[in-house]
Amino acid sequence: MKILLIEDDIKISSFIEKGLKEHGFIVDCCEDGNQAYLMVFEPGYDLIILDIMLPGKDGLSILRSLRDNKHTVPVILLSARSTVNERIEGLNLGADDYLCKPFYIGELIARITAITRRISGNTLNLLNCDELTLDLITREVKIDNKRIDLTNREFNLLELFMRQPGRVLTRTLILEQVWGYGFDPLTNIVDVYIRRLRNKLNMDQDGPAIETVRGVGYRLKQNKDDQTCCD
Amino acid sequence: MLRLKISIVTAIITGGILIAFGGYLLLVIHLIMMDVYNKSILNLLLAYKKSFILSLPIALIFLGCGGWFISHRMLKPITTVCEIAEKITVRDLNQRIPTVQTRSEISRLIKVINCMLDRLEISFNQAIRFTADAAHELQTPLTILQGVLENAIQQAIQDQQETQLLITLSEEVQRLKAIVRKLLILAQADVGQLHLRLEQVNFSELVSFTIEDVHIIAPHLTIHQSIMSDVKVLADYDLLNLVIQNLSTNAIKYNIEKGIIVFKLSIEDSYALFSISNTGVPISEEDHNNIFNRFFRVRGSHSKRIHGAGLGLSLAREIVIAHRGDLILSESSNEFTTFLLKIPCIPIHT
Repeated sequence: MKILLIEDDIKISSFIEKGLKEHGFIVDCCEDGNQAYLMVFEPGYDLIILDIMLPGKDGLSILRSLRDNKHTVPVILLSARSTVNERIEGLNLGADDYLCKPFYIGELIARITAITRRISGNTLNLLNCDELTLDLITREVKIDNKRIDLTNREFNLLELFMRQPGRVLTRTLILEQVWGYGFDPLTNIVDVYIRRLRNKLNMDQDGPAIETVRGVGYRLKQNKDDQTCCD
Repeated sequence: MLRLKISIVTAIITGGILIAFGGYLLLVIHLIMMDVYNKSILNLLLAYKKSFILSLPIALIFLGCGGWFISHRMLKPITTVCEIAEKITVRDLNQRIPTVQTRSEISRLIKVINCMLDRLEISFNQAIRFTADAAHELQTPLTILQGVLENAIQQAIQDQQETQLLITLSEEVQRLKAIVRKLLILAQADVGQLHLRLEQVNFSELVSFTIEDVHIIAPHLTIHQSIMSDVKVLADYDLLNLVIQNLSTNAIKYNIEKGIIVFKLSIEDSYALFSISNTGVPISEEDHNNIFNRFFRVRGSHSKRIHGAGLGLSLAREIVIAHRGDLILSESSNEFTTFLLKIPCIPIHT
C-alpha cells in the first residue's frame, strides 16, 4: 500500500514515515503545500495523510481541489487545532478521517486500516483476531462463537488492543485512550482492568492473549502470523 | 428621568419668560391707561388680565408637553446607543452603533463608543488567535516527542534500563499533554470559544463507571453512593467525564486514611444535581474562593507530594458553566468536604 504523507514539520513526518514503514507501508513524503498540490494528482497513491497548516497551499484547499476534480483517494487530515469547526469543515470537504495532534502512531495505523477495510467493502463493525471476534455495533465479544459479557470499560480496552495487535501499548497510552485525561497517570487502574479482562476472556494457551511486556506495558499477541488478521 | 427634567426645566424657563413679559406689558398699558382714564378701555384691560392669568397654567402644560416631545427627539439617539450596546457580547463584537447625522455631542459619544469597540474587537481577536497559535506551537513539539518515544518503545527490549527511561519520559509527555489540553480549554473558555460537542449523555452511567474506577484506585476508602438511575443530560461527554474524574481524583487525594467518599446524583427542578463528599481536612474559609483559581493549591499539598497542577477545579468550573450549570463548594466541615455540581437535565419521558 502506497501512502503520500504531506507534513511540513520534518521531525513529525520522519517519525510517521518510520512508523508506517515498519508496518509495511510504502511512504512518500512532501513538505510543501504547492508541491503537494501537484503530487496529490499523481496516480498510484492508495491514501493521503494531509496536514492542514502547510507553507504554500494549505491542506483544506488541496483537499477541496482534489475532490472538485473527482479524485476519490482517501484522505486523513492532521491538525494541531482541535476546534470542532475545523473538523466539520474538513469532513464536509470530503476527508475520510481527522486526527488531532498529538496522536499516537498506533492510532493513525488503526485508522488507515479502518479506511482500507471500508473501501475494500469489508464489514467495518467486526474486529477479528484468531478466535476472538468483537462486534463494534452490538458490542458483543465472542471466543469460538461463545459469548462473553464485558463491561463498557472492558470492551473499550479490548477494542484498543484489537485495533493494533502486536503493538506494545504503554499504561499511559491505555489510560489516556480508554479513560481520558482526568486520572493521574500513576494509578494502577490499567493493571487491574487488564487482569479482569484476562480472567473474563480466560484465554487458553493457543488463543490470542494480552501479554505483559515487563517494564513497558501490554501487547495483544496473535498466534497466526497473518497480516490480514485484525486488519 | 433626564427627559422629565428637561421638560420641567423648559416649562419653567419659558413660562417664567412669558409671565414676566405679560406682566410687564400689563403694567405698562395700565400706567398709560391711568392717565387717559377711559373706563371702557380699563375694563377691557381687566378682562385681558383675567384671561391672561387663566390661560397661564394651560400654556405651561402645553410648554411642558412641548419640552417632553423635544427632549424625546433629543434623547432618542442615546436610547438607541443603550439598546445596541446592551446587545453587544463577545459573540458579535463586530456590531457598531449607527452614527446620527447631527453635529451634536451625541454623535461624538457614538463615535467614541465605536472607537472603543474597535479597540476591544482587535485585542479580543488577538487573544483568540493567540489561543489557536499557542495550541499549534505547543502541540507540534508534543507530537514529535510522543511519536519518537512511541517508535522507540515499540523497539525497546524488556527490563532494560533504557526502556525504563523511555517509559518515564512518555509518562511525563502524557502529563504535559494533559496540562496543555487543560490550559487550551481554559483559554478557549476565556474568550467564549469553548465549543461543546453536545450529545445525550447518561449521567448516571458516567458516574457509576467513575465509582467503579474509584473502587480500584482507592481500595482503602469506603464508598457510599445514592445514584438516581437514567439521569440524562445534554453535554460534551469527554469534558463532563473530565470534570467527574477530576472531582473524584480530588476526593481520593485529599482524603484521610480509611476515609469515606459519598457520591450522590439526583434531579431537582429540572437540574441534575451531582455531589461528591470526602472526609479530610476542611478547606479554610479564606481558601473557599481560591480553590477555583488557576494554579492554586491548598497549602501543604506540595509537601505532601500530592500530584497535580492546580488546574482541575478551575477547569471543572469553566466546563460546568459552559454547560449552563454551576459548580460550588457546598460544605467544608470537620466531617466532610462536599462539591456540588448542577447542570440542566433532559426530562425523563415515561
